[in-house]
Amino acid sequence: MTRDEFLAHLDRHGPDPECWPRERRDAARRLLAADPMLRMVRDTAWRVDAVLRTPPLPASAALRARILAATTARPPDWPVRFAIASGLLASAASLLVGFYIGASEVRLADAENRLGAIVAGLEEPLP
Amino acid sequence: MMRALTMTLLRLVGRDEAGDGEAALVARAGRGDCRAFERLVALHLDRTVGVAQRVLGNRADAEDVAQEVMMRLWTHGHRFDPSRGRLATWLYRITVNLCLDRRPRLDTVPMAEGFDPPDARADPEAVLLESELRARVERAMTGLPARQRAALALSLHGDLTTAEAADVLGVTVGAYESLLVQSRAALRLALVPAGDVP
Repeated sequence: MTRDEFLAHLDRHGPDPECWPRERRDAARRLLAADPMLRMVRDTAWRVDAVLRTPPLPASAALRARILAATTARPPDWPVRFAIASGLLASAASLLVGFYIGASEVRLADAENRLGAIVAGLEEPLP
Repeated sequence: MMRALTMTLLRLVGRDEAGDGEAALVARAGRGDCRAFERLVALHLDRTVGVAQRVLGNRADAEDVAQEVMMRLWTHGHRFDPSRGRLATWLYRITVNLCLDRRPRLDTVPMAEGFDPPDARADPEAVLLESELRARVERAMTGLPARQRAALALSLHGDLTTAEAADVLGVTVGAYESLLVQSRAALRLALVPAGDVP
């Protein structure tokens, strides 16, 4: 393993060789044992990792209070969505009713025509 | 067809068919249930502030962003689709986008203000060294491109899988891992200059 390869693994997998690909660990340990500068780089990476992993402080009570207070000033927009949904439902229902009535009238007219034809047939004198 | 129509209408009015877990809390909050919203804030606010702080580099801006994220959850929670991922992913996407859209402050306050201080009982010299290192790390972080900081923040404090973090940033898993490698390499070079490695 070269220094550049070591540094590339360091950046990809972090400072703990136990987290590196199994087949590279022994070579990494040998290089570390032989190279004090790489040990310094690895140790620095380890300490940087620890600093970065320091958990953030919890959100302040003032921030929580601001957020919860703002909910009264800005209600969710569900009433608008409810109105839109209701409008869509009403429109769909109107369309369905109109289509049903229209189709019924067509069927009624067709039945009337047939009945008229039968009556006309009955009114014809028998041969 | 009817099921799809029903689902669409249910989502329009903010209801969730599954009716449990975070999705149910979001749906209840969307209907104006303050207790459900308070619960969601308790679950997600700290991490949202943490991620924003890592990206922005200061506490005050991070709290502003976190407040805006929570208000969007309150007013537009119906846009969250539980079938597309966890609520945390949705919130972090908003957080990162708000952070990236924000103009960098010229008077950036060192980030250490919002992180746990060193243990006061420890050896004073060690505490001093740690404080110095912390300050150098924070300075190096502010020098990274914003997307690298965002990738690092999500990997450190987001509690997300690699795929989820990549999704938050809108990149492939490979591109996300590449951002992480670049950010770690940049930090290493900032803290241990290349000239020091013979």
